[in-house]
Amino acid sequence: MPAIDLIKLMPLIITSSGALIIMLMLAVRSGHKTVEIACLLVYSIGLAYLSKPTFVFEDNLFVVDGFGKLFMGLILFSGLIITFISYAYFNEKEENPKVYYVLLLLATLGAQTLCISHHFISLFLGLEILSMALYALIAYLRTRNYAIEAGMKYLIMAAFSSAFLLFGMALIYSETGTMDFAAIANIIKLQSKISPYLIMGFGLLMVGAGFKLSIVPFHLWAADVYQGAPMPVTAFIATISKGGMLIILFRLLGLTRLISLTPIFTLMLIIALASMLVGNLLAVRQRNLKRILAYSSIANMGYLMAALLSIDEDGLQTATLYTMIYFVALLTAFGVLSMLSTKERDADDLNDLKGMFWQKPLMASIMTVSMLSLAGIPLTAGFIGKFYILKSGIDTGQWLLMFTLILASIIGLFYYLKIIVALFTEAPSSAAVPEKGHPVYYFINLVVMFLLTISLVVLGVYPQQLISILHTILS
Amino acid sequence: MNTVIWLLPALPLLGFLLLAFLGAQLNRTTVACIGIGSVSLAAILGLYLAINFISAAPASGYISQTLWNWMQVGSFKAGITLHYDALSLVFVFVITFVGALIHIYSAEFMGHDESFARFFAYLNLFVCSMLILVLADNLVLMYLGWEGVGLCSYLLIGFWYKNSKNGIAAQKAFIITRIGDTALAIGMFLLFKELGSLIITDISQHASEKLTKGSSNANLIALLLLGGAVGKSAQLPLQTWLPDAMAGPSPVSALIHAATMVTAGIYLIARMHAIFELSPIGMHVVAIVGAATLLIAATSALAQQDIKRVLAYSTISQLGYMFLALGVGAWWAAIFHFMIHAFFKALLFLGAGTVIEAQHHEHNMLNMGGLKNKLPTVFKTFVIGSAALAALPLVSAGFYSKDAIIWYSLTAQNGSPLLWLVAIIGSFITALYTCRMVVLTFFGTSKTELSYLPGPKMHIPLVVLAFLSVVGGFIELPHNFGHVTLFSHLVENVLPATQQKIDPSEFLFQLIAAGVCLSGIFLGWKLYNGSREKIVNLESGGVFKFFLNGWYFDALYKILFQQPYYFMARINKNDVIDKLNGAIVFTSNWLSNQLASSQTGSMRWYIMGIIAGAIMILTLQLVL
Repeated sequence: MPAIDLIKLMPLIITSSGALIIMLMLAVRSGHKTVEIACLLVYSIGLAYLSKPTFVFEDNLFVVDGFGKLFMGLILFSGLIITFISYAYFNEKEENPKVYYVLLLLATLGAQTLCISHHFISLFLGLEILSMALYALIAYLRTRNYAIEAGMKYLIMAAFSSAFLLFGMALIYSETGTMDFAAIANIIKLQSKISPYLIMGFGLLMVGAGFKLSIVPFHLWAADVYQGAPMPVTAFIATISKGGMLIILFRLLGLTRLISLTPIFTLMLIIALASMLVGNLLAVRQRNLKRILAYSSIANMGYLMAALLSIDEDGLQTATLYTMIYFVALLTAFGVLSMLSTKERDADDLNDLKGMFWQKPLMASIMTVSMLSLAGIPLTAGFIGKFYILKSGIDTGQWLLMFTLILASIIGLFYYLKIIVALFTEAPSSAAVPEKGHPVYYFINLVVMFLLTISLVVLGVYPQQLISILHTILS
Repeated sequence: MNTVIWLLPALPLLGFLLLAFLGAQLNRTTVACIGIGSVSLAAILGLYLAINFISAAPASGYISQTLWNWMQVGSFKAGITLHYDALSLVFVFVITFVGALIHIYSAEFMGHDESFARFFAYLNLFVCSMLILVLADNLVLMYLGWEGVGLCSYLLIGFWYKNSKNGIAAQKAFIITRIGDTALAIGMFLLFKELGSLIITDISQHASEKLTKGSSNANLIALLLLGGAVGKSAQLPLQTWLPDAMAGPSPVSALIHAATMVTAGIYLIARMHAIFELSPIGMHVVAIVGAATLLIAATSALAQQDIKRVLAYSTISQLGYMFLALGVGAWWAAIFHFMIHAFFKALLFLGAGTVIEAQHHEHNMLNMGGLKNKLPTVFKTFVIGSAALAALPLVSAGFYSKDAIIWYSLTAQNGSPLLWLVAIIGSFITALYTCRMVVLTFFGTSKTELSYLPGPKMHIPLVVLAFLSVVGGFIELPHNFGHVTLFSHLVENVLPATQQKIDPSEFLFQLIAAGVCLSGIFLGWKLYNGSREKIVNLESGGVFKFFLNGWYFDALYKILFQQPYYFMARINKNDVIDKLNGAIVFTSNWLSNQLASSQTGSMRWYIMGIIAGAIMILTLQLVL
């Protein structure tokens, strides 16, 4: 590969060399703070590089287009935020916190690869890089109760579902003779009758993809793994790891319009309906915050599938908008929760939030806005996201899907409100709140969360600018 | 000059904000200064504006000031725009000037109340809302003021909320006026649908182009607007709230339930005269409502024993006269009577308040008497006010304003002998009950020891209002003597001139009216200037009981509306509709439980889940 081509993969190179540099820094025993700052720098450089408008190219394995760049930016941004919240969270923990950043960067690298992949080979490559790093990240705090269990579960099930994914790819390849997304779509569209092997191939592919996205019926792992993983890693799984798989689906089914084929459409419709309902229903009686967010993510993936299904001119734009807004709201929520976490345990019980407003009004307000946005209440960005999903769904006449979406949102409102109610209830006369050991980091985190919250509200009131930016990038 | 109109409502609003947020920290003197000051400044400003307006009236007949574009959707536009013309001028004058006097009075009257600041805050908010109502350039803004005064009325009737009876009276007032408000809102919607604008100048200029005279739409709009006016102005059939509203402090009764808020209905109809002129049926209904109300209320006033309830029924009755005037097309006469009525009725309420306060909060007139010498200033001013109410010929302002209405109820476009007869009978009863009230309260032997003597802050407003109740009438004298037309000349720009269909000898009818009034007073003196036992005997009859209970309207409504409502509420005790919502909750809960049992935490089960999912997908796809 000539050097000129390597430059085109610069974002991936930045992240991977960042991982290497941090590994070297660990060898010379750099402090936690230095490592953290280096990691922040890596993400920032990556983001800065992406903003160069001239940077586009396409070859067999990778395509760097506006869509891919947008998602990659989103992933790097999420990584940046997660790095912010990681320092205070890990610094007082018993394990050596520094290796964490290497794994974090490597996992990000995997997700980044997925963003620009339009070929089965690069897809699988990216997926495995992402998964390998995640196994270790989930079980990172190995002395915790559920850590090893969650890591093992994820390992076994991810491997299991990868097998389905590979077999699906193989079937599709055997029928079409190509592994390129666009070529596959072209060949399928030329066929008068789609062969059953091809349909089986897509079905098995969806098992693998569905596992990563934790959509029904492949959602069972989500709650256990979310609960067992350290708080920043949970945020990572919820955002970056799912974002990588989402863009693959958008590319494979959306951009190529394969979604409009009846068998694939029906399959995705059932998955979307089931995910929306099952996710929200599972969360209703849950009291563990991480599990609530896990179930809520099942439902939100369902909403995103709904956006994908009502594919028209703006369908992808809607899905992208929703993804971005969902990520920001989720990162805010996880940010608050990890700031509340103590040395011994994560603040993942509903009781941990009780009466928070009376002790930490700003943090409670941030959490409230984030929950309102997740629930899709007007004046927050979440409403805009949901509104556009509904709009494109109604424009394309997806009535069953849209009524289910509304019903599911109503059910969902219950547990988001449950969290908000907990924030504002009378505080249980608890002992004094333990002081955080890192006032500076605590403050920085608070500022970051506050900015994210502001952006949620601003987007909820003036969404037009973001939408037009998305429109130019995607068209 | 037109740049300061905004200060009129802004000053009381500022007063309200100051008192509402800082009231608890301020001492009583400061509170009184803020409360009185804001309204007094508005009154001075109002006078300044009025003098400017009268001396150099603008060619268009109004001045407007746009402060802000409130809302704009499609062709619908409502701005925070103030509109000052001759009609607004009269109302602004009464609201701010009488309002300021009542504020001064209140400073002493409420002096020992623990919620002193709250009282002045509400009162200032009321003045602000009322000014917005009469200065609004569009009906939407007017509706804001309309609801604002309704809110303040509610808050002030229930001011002494610790007594639950007052709270109930406040709720009654609020709910009953709300029936009218709803009619008004629907009328506004319909008006917008037909005319495409709710701006007052647009309505008066373009109503006749877009609506045909006598069309069903014009009638419907007029009747809906009348519905709003009837609720606010306590006319038949929504009059029942006003007597109960006397639960509020006396200054509140004087300001809100006599001088200003209850006349909002008069203002609305006068403002919308363009609509009413397109609906002859609407005009007739206005006149009939007014005539019926004035008779029912006057007879009810005759039997009341609570002095404030006498005045309350008398207010309803006098408002009936104004409606009658509007209905027959005597626009300026209605507004003129409004102004004079504001003077003397505020005076009477303030006087009654003093009397009640001086006698250990005794409301029953049968337990009063002999106050003539004990409260001389109050007595003199009260008599002047009563003379105006009874329309004592020549010397009282009430004679000139009421005589115009009686005269036009016969001769004006929509007048008729029957309406004239009702008006003249009403005039007789008015004289009778007024005389009864004065005699029972001030003459005879003393029944109750005085607990308190009013000071200057209470006397000055009484004297000023008494002065106005006499000279106020001289600005408009009938053409057969004096022929002064200052008032009708002022409002002729805004309100259509009164058309007369017949012109019999006015002198004869003035003589009849004067004679009826004097005979009413004479009969009253004969009947009531005797022993109390005789009076009690006289009033124990069935007819008086009927009158005492206000023709049993409350009982009627209880049977017609309250009991069926309670009945329906009882039937639907379990809230059938809510059961549907409950079903969603129940189902979600149940499903949640079922699904939660799939989260076993066991790997084998999860793997089986994936396999089952895969098999499901494959079969599904191959079957399809």
